[in-house]
Amino acid sequence: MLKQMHNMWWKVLGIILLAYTFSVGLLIKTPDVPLLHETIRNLFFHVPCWFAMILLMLASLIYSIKYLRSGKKIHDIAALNLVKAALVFGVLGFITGMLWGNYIWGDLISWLTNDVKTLGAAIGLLIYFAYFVLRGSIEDEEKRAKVAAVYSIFAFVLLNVAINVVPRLTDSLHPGSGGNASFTVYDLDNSMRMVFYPAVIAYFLLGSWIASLLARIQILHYKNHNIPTE
Amino acid sequence: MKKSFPFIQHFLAFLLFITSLTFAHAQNGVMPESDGAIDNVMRSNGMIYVVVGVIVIILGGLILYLTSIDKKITKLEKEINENK
Repeated sequence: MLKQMHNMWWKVLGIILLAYTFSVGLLIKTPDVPLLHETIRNLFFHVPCWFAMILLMLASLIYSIKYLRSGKKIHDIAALNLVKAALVFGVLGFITGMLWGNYIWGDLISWLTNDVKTLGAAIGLLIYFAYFVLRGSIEDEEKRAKVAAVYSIFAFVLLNVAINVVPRLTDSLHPGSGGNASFTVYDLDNSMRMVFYPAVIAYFLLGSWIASLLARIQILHYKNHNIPTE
Repeated sequence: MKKSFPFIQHFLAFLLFITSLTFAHAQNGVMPESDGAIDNVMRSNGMIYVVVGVIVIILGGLILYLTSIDKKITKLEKEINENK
């Protein structure tokens, strides 16, 4: 049984860090970058969505590997629900990116095809949506868990290739890829990092919290039907 | 068992709303500064309202997801009560 799910301290830490992110993130002095202006603050709100998504998917990958080693159903439940929470942040990252891109890049209709990184993110999300299709298509519980765990390893690698590797090889509107400068260039005194990294941790903890709630619901469901989860 | 997806319906309605806004934006021409009241507000004060919009979307999305979890728990509670 995953005892950490019932611990309170990391949830409180997540709340504190979220409060820090949303207050300090709006209040600190940010460098005035032409074109971006105040929207540079979206670095604290939009970008951590994606970082948290990748971290949650990494956690899901770890539990998938644990499941393959142990065969315990609880590990499969953890892996599944971490992906669900990760996709929430992925979808939020997409919608917020659409809004931001509409005002910075000026066009939203071609948002999918114009930018390699956006396209990569869309492909990555679709790969993870296929994870649910795969799970839904297999009747046998044990076989479903095993196949899904193996698929999740491939999915994580493909997602990282699509989001982190390919955009760096070509031109992209996103910072840090192609010829574009990353945000570190503007962040001269590391003040933005002091908000950005707590924001990533806060979003990750919030996602873990959501995943733990989903997992507990599923465990209760199994218990109600007298199916052992250990 | 009857399945209902009110959450997904709300979500799709929201997406449609967003896309309709952007399509309206596209049809109004190439000069982004001159079109629409929403754009004028969004571009004022160093585009801080884009940040506000992003925060609202994140909060709204999380709350929508929270309600879907709430519904799952309600369903589970009903099941458990029936089994008693």
